[in-house]
Amino acid sequence: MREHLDHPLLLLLVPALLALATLVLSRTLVQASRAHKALQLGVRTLLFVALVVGLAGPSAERPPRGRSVVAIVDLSASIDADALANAKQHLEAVRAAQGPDDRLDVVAFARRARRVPVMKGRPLAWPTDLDAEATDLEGALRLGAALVEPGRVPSLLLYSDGNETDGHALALGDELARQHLGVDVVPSRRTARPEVLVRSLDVPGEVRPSARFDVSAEVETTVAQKVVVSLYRDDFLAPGDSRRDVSLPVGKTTMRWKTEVPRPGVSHFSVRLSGALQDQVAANNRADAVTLARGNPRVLLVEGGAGSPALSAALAQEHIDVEVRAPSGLPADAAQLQSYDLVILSDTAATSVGPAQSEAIERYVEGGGGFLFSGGENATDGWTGTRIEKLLPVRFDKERRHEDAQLALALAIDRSGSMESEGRLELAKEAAKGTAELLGPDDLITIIAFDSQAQPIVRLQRAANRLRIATDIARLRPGGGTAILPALREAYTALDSANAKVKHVILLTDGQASYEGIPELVREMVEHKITVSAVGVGADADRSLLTTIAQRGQGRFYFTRDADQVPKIFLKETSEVAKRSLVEEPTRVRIARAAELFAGTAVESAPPLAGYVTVKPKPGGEVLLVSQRGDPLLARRRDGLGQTAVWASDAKNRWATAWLGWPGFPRFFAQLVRSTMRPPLAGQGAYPVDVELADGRATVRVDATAPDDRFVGGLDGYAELVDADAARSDGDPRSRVPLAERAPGRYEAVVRLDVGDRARARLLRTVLRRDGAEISRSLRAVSLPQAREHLELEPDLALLSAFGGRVDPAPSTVFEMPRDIAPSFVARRPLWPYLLWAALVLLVLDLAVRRIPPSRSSSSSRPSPASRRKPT
Amino acid sequence: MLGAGAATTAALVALYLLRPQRRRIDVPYARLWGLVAREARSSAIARKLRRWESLLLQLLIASLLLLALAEPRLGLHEARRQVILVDVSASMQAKEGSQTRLEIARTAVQHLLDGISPDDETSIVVFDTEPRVLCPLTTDDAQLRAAAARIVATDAPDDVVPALRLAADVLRGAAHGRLTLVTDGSLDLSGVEALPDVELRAVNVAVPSVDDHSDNVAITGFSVRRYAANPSAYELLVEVRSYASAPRRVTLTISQEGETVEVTTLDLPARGRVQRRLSDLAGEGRRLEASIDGHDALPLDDRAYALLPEQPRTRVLLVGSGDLYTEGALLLDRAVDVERVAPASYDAKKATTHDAVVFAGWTPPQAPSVPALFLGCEPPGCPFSTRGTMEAPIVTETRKDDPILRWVALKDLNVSRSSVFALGAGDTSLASSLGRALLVSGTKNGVRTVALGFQPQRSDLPLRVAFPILLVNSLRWLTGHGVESPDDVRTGRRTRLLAAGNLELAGPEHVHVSAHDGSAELTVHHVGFYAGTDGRLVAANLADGRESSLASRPLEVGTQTLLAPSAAQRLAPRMSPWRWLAALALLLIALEWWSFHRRHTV
Repeated sequence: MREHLDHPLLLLLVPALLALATLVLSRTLVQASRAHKALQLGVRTLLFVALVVGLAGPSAERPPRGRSVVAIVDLSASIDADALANAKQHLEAVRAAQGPDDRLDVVAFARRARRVPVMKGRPLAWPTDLDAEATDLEGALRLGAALVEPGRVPSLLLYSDGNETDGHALALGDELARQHLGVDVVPSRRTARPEVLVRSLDVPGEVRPSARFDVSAEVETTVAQKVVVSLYRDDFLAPGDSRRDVSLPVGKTTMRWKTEVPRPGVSHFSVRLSGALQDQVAANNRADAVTLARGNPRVLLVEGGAGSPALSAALAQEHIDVEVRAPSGLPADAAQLQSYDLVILSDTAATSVGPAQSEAIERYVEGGGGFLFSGGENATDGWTGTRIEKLLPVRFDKERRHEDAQLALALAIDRSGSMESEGRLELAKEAAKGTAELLGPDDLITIIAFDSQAQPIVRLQRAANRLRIATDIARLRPGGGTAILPALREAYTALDSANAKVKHVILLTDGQASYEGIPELVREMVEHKITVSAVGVGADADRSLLTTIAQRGQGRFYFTRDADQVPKIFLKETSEVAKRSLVEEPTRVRIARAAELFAGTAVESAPPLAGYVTVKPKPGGEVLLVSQRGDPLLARRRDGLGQTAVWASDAKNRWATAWLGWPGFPRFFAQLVRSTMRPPLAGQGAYPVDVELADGRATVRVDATAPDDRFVGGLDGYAELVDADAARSDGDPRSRVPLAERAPGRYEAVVRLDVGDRARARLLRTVLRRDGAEISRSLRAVSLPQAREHLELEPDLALLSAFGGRVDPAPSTVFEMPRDIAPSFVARRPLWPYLLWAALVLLVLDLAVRRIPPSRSSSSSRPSPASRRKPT
Repeated sequence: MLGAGAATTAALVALYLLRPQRRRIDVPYARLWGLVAREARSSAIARKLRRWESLLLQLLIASLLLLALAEPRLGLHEARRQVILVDVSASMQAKEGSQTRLEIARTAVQHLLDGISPDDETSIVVFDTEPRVLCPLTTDDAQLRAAAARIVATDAPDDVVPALRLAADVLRGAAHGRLTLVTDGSLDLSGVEALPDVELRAVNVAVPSVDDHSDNVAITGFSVRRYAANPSAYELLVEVRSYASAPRRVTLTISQEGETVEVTTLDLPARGRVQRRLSDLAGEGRRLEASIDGHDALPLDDRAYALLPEQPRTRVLLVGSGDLYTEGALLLDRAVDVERVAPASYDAKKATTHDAVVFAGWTPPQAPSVPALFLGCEPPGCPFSTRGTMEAPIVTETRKDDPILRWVALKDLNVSRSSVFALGAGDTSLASSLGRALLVSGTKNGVRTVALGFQPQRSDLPLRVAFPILLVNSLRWLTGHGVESPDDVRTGRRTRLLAAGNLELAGPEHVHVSAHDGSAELTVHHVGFYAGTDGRLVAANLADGRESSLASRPLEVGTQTLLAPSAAQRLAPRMSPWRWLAALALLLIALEWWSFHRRHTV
C-alpha cells in the first residue's frame, strides 16, 4: 500500500452526509431547476468528500528527499596531526559537496562522543573535552545512528584508525545492518614518522624471592634506531644488565632479562625507553607490570647477649629465614624493617638500643609488623619506661619481688692508681651509677671508695636521691695503694645499722691486698646478715683473696679482664641480690590460656626452664604461658596493625638449656613466630584463582574444589583491588565485589579497573567464607595491559571494513543516492492540506454555482414539486 | 495564506454582491399579485439581513478552513528536542493487572506522541543493557508512531546509564531538551549524573510497591559442571529465589534433552532463596533445562537453560608389552579410546592418527610428533636429557599446583631405580628427589611431553590411587582437553567467544556475530538455547536477581517525580487543532446546506 489513512472509519461519514444532503434537497424550499440542483448537490458532495477524506488523515509515500550523513571524527590521541588534518580536509570537501536536500551532522569522539554543531559557511568548533587517551568507537557509532534524520537516506562516515580501546564496535554491526545504516570509512593513517614504543611487558604474576625469572618486553620501532632500554624494579634500575643500548631493527624486537626480587612482597617492574629517540608519542615509551613474590617468612633476630645459634637454627628448620644481627645492626629506619615479617629482640640490654631504633620498631609494629621480645640476663628491667616496653603486652617488674626484701647495698670501689688504666675507674663509676638507678626508691645505697684508706663518697641513703648520688659518684678520684679491710669495715659499719632485710656488699678491685683480718670480718658480717660479693678486674686482681671473700661472704665472685664488663656485672649482681627482675630457679611452664600456636608442640610437657625475667601483664595483654610461681612466661597483644609477644625466658643455653634438646623446641618457636609475625600477603591453602583482563575489567574466577574432587558450594566472599603499598590492610568495603557461585564450586566476580590503575601496582584479593569463617584468601598481582591508545601504528582496516561500507569514498560521492533504497527510509507525506485547499476552492465554487444563475436553456425545465408549494 | 484568505473573502463577497436570481413565483390569478408584492416589500429588510448572515457564515467556514491549513498551535512554545527512553528489560514483561508493563508503556508512549507539537523533534530509544534507537530525531509523527508500535520487550536486564548517556548526547546543544523515561521503576538511578539543560520527566508504568516484594519466583542460577577426575558424572547447581512476602512451595523439574531427570519440591522462605545441588548425575545429552511450576508475575524466569560441557574423546595409542596396569588405568576414563600396540609394531606414522601416545616401559628412538607420555623414559630416545640414574629415590618435592599432579600423592613411593632428568629451558620438574627430577613435563619438538623416570612396574605406583589420576591428568594436559564449562551466556551481557570467522546463531532470536582477531562479542536478548553455524551450542539465561525482583520504587529523577502512566496523556494535550477546525467547518457546511434549502440563508 502506497497510500494510507490514519482513520479510515471516518470515510463512512461520506455516505451519511450524502444521504442527509439528498434528504434536505428533496424538501428544499429553494427554487431551482433539476439540473441546477444536481449540480449543487454534486459540488457539495465533492466538498464533503474533500473534508472527510482530509479528516481521515491520508498520507502518501514520499521518496527520500536527500541524504542524511553523520560524519564521525576520531579525535583520540592515536590520530596524529597529519591524519587529523587529512580527515578535516576530507570533511570540508564533503561539506562542499552537500546538496540542498542533504543533511550533514558531525560527531567528534575519543573516549566520549559529542555532536559538533554544523553551521553553513562556518568552520566546525571541535570539542576538546573528549579524553583523547581512549577510543570508544562503539559509543560514537551509536550516537551517529541516533542522529541520522528519517526521511533521508542515512549513512555514517567514519574518520578513524579503528583502534578501539573501549567497547566493541563490531557488536553494533548487526544493529546497524538492521537499520540499513552503511558506514563509509576514511581510515586515518599515520604519516610515516619515526615511532618507537614498548608494546608489552611480560612478568610472571608470581615468583619466589631470590629465584631468577624471565622478564620480556616487546619493543617496536618504525625506523631502525639506537635506543636505551632499561628495566626498572620499584623505580630503581633493576640489578644486573638492566640498562641496554640496543640497535633496534624496524619491527618488533623482544628483549629478555633475567632478574629476581630479593624478598617476598610486591615488586613493580617497568621497561622504559630513553636515549636520543626518534619518536612522536612519549606515552608509549614505558610499560608496567607487577609481580608478587611469595617466600619463607623473614625474621630479623637481634641478639644482645652471647650469640647462640639455637634459635636461628630452629627457625630455619621450620622454613623461616632468619637474619641475625647485633643490637648495633638494628635499623634505625622503619622502612628498612619492612622487609622482615618479624623482629626478635633477644637478650638485649635496654642501653644497647637507641631511641631511633626503638622508634623504628614502634613504627614497624604500628604498620603491621610483628615483634617478639625474648628475655635473658641482659634483658631485665632496664627496659622500664622505654618505648619498647610500651609496645609490649607486659611491663618489667620494678616492684619488689618479695615485699620484705628491702635492700641495703654497699659498693666498695677500688680507686688505687692502677684503676686509672684502661679507664677502669670511669667504668666503675658508670657501673655504680647504673646500680644506683637499678635500685628501688626505698633501697639504701652507700658507696665507699678505697685506696690505702676507705672513704665513703656516698653515705648510706635512699636510692631515690639519684641526682645527689650521681653527683657524689662523679667526685670519685683515683688515689694510691689498695687496702680492702678498711673498706669492708666501713661498709659493715654503714650496713649494720641500716634497717633492711637484705644487706649486701659488692667489692670491686683490680689489685692485691693483705689478707689480714678480712676472713674474720667477713664472717662477722655474715653473722649480721650482710653478704659480700667480689669483682676482680684485670689480670693483677688477687683472685684467691676475692674468691675467699665471696665464698665466706655468701656472695658471688666475678672476674673479668675486660673492664667494659664491669657495669654489666654490677647490674647482674645487683639484680641477683635484689631478686627483683630475674628468677633463676627451675620452673615448668603451665598453659594459662590455650592458643592455636601450641598446637602439636606439647609445650606443657616441655622440660623445665632455668630462669626468666619477671614481668607483669598489662591490660589488653594476653598471658598464654606462666611459670610455676604464676609469673607470665609468654604474653602477646595487638599493637596497631601489628602484634607483639614477650617470651620472658630465653632461647639459648642459659635458661632454656633443657629446651634446646627438647624435640618441640623448633616447632614451638616457629609457631610463636608465625602467629606473631605480619600475616602472609597471600593466604595459604587458597583455592586457585583465575583472572582474565579485558576492557578495563578483571573477571575473577575462584575454583573451589575439595581434594576429593567435590565442588565446594555455598560459600560467600568477595574480590577486591588493593594498592600494593597497602596490601596488608583491607580495601574499602564498598569496593568489594561479591563472589557469586556461577557454577558448582566456581565463584565469579567482575572487578572494574580504573583507568588510573595502569601505572599503579594493584593486587587482587579474593576471600571466600563459609558461615562467616574465612576458608580461602588469595592475593595476586594485576598488571594492566599497556594503554592501548598508543600501541597500534596502523589502522585496523579489518575492523573498519567489517561494517560493509566503502573505504576512502571520494567526498563528492558521499551524498550520492544509493541505487537501492531500503523501504524504511521512505517517508510518508500527509495529504490533508491538499484536501483542505481543495475544500476551500470547492466552497467558493459551491457558492458560485448557487448564486450565478444558470442559462435560460438549462433552467427551462419543469419546476420541482416543492417550488409549487406555497411559501410559509 | 493571507493571499488565499483575501482571495477567498473577495470571491465570497463578490458572489453575495451579485443580484440574486429572483425566485419565480407562479401566481394563479392577478389579484394575488398584490399580496405577493406586499409580502415582498415587508420582507425586504429581513432579506437584506439574511444575505449578510449567509455571507458571514460562508466567511466563517472559509476562515475555519484557512485556519486549519495554517496549523495553529495553542500552546505557544518553541520547538523542542525530545528523547523518549523506553525500558524494554525483562521486568517489563511482568503483568500489572491484565496488561504487561510493556503494553502499558507502549500506550504511554502513544499518549506522549499525542502531546508533542509538529515542530518538536522526537526520538524513541529503547534500552535494556544497551540503548537502541528505534526512531532517530524526527518531526514525522508517522515514523514515531510506527516506531512506538515496534517497542518489544527483551529478556535482558537493564542498565540505564548508557541509555541516559546516549540521550544526553543526542539532546546536547538543544535549546529545549526534554528526556522522558518510560520505565517500570526498577532502575537504579543512584549512579546517574545530572543532565544539565535537560528537562527530565519519567513515567512509571508499574505500581510502586512499598515493601519491595512481588509475586515472583525465579530461577536465578542454573549451571552444571563435570567433575575433573570423573568427567562422565556431573554436578548441578540450581538457585531459586522467591520475592513473595509469604513462603512458597514450588516444584522444580530438571530435564535433559526433554527427558525429566529430577523432580523436586522446594520450600521457599519469604523473600529468600534456596540452593539445590544435585551431585553425581550422569546421562546422555547436553541440553539441560530447569523449570518451576505455578503462575507468577514473570514467567520468563521460571525456566533456565544449561549446557553440559562436552566430553571430548581422546584417542590414545598405548605402546608397551602387555602392561595391564597402565591399560586398565587408562580405561578408567570413559572418554579415552585406547589402542594398544607392541613396541615392535610401533610406527611413528601410526602415532599421528592419535591424540596422544603413551609409551609404557619402552622408549622409541625418536619421539612422536603428537603429545606423548613416557613411563620410564630412557636415553637415547628420551626427549628429555637425563643425567644418570638414582637408586631407591624418595620423592621429596612435588609441584602440587601443577595440573598434572592435581590430587596425586607421591609420598612414600617405593621406586627401585629411576632415571634423573636434566631440566632444559621450559621444562618443569613435577616430582624430584632431593632436587633431582624424576617426573618432568615440557614442550618437546613443539608438542607437550611428560616423562616419568622409572617404569611404573619398578615401583608400587600402579598399586596406588595416584596412578590412574596421574595418567588422566597427564592425558588431559597433553591433549589440552579439559572439561571446562562452555560459555555461560546471560541475556543483554556481552560474552566473548572464540570464533575464527563470523557466526550465525539460531534460537529464540537469530544473531549474527562478527568476529575480529579470532574472537567475537555475542549479545543475545532472549533466553534459551542457540545453535551456531559452527556447531556450538549456547545457553542463555537472565540469571539476574535484581531484574527478577520486579520491585518498583517510586523514583525521583532530579526534582521530577515519576508520573503514573495515566498521567502521560495529561502531560500536554495534543496542540494541533487542524482536525477540529476542519471538522467544525464540515459541520457548518452541512448545516449551511440545510439552512439554505430551508431558506434561512441564501
